[in-house]
Amino acid sequence: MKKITSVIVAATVMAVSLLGAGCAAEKKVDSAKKEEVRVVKHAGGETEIKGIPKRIVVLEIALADALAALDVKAVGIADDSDPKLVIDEIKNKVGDYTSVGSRYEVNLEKVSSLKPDLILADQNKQNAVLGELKKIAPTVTVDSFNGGYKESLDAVKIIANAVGKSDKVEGILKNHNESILKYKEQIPKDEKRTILPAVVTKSGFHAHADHSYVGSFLNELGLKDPLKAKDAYNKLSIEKVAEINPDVMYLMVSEEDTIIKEWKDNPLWKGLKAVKDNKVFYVSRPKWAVSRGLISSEGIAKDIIETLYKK
Amino acid sequence: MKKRQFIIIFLVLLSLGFLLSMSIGPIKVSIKDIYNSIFNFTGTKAENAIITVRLPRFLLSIVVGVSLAVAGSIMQGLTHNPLASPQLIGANSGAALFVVLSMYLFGGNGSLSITLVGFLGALLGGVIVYALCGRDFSPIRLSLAGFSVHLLLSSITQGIIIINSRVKDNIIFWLVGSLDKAKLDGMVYNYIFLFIVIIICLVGGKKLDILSLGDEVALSLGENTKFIKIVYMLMALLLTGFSVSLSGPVGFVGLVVPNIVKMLLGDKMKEVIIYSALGGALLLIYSDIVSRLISYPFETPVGIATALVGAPYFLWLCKRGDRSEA
Repeated sequence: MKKITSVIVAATVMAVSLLGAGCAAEKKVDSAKKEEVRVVKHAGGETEIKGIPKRIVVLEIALADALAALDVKAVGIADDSDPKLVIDEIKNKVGDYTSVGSRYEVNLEKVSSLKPDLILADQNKQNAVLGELKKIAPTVTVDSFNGGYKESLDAVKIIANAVGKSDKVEGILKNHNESILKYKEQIPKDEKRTILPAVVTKSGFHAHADHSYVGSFLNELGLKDPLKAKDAYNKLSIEKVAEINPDVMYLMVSEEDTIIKEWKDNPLWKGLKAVKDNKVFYVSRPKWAVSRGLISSEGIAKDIIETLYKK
Repeated sequence: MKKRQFIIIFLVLLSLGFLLSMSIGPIKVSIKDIYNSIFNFTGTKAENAIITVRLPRFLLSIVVGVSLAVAGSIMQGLTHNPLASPQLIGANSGAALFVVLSMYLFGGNGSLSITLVGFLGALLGGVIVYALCGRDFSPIRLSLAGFSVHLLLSSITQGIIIINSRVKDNIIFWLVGSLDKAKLDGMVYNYIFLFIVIIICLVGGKKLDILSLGDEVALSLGENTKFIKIVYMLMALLLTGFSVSLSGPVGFVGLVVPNIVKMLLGDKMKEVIIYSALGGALLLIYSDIVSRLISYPFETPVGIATALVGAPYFLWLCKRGDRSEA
């Protein structure tokens, strides 16, 4: 009985491989591309990737922005089980995806059940599980959480190489730079106002320093983030905010109930230049702070022009 | 050390702590600003920083320090065990669990209801440890039971935080113990509450001393030992729940302060309670100052500063305890 089975299996294998060979002969060009092995250099070293990945799992929303910019779909995204964190512009491009849990505590079982052929991860956030991830599929990492705007552009190039779209990426980046330039032209050259971006939640006021993603993007536009600090994200007391006394504030929110409710009656808050001049703007935290990519940065630039330079 | 010396040192350190607490922060403040903010308020930025941020923190740190130190001294007096403290008796973690649970379920912020929730949690932790110990409050038994319950309750708290990532962001800072939500509104009620509870504790201070002679002697002197024990334990748990609801579970204060006081001034309960209250206030005031300096000008939770002082002392105490038993 066993012998018969093994004969049948062998025959099937041979038949399939012959069939495969026939197809290959017909579409030689396509298969050559499929077999191509690329060495992708990334934050975690070098990884060999064969062909065009079709089932991609993304463990940091900022990298989903890069995928969307390259017009590539994702099968899974770590969205903290909160679909609102992925903005519509990205959702429309990456298609229907399965949530693989929190970015901080990735659900490895779910990742592996999606049978990915490529995993995109954040070098710091998922550092502890990188070994496990590599066992599931080739894993390409980017230092996105601490990176600035320039690093986010580099990340797009790395991811383009990983998904086999290196030939398209220059064009995509050129288009992006042009649209950012268009926004930049609407900002006066002599703009002196300081602009403090901060995520505000119930627990606190988390200001983004000048080298954070938003801080460095403001700098790219010719604007100034007044917060200098070692860390990208800093919890500030109301006193520290009063000491910085920014001219403009963009408060990135994803919930209605924030610490500003407690602060708004404090004379220190009322005395802020931004508050007196009515230059405190509430903006979408998913767009400004979470996505950190080509698509979202164009959205940030648009928000800034609309709030500060349009009457 | 004489009591008068202790009081003088306390007053000097309190004044110095007040000046430091008012002067340290991102906004530069002069002595004149401190004077003006209290006696001649004109509404400058520096004066507002003192009145709306630094003074409330100073006052809150006193409330929290006094509550925890008094709670610790009562727990140690009741159990005849120098290791007993809000943390080790499961009260801190019980109160923290209940407060986190109520934030998770109701998102609530009402100060009175949170105090009640904190008290119920402290009660839960205390009752479990009490039940596990039975009548035997020997250091080893209490440490093992208390620490197990502490771990159990903390792990449930962490479970809730992990399940709900939105709660996570809001609670982590608080869970280490933090004074950054201090407000002047309602501060006077905190002081009234604290004052009443401490008066109740002091009124029966003598009874605690009689208890320390052992249950049999106390009974033969006509004391209702069970009643005294229950009332005092409730007071200690009430103080713990109260402090946790205000600032999160600040560790080590209730352990360290009463032990130092007993070492310096002897172990008459009434005095231990009074001087622990003073010492607890000082420890929290200075811990708050240190916590502002650790990553200046950004904030560090005050619980980290008290742990920096408390943990080495705790280890030293354990080592010393070993020797005296051998």
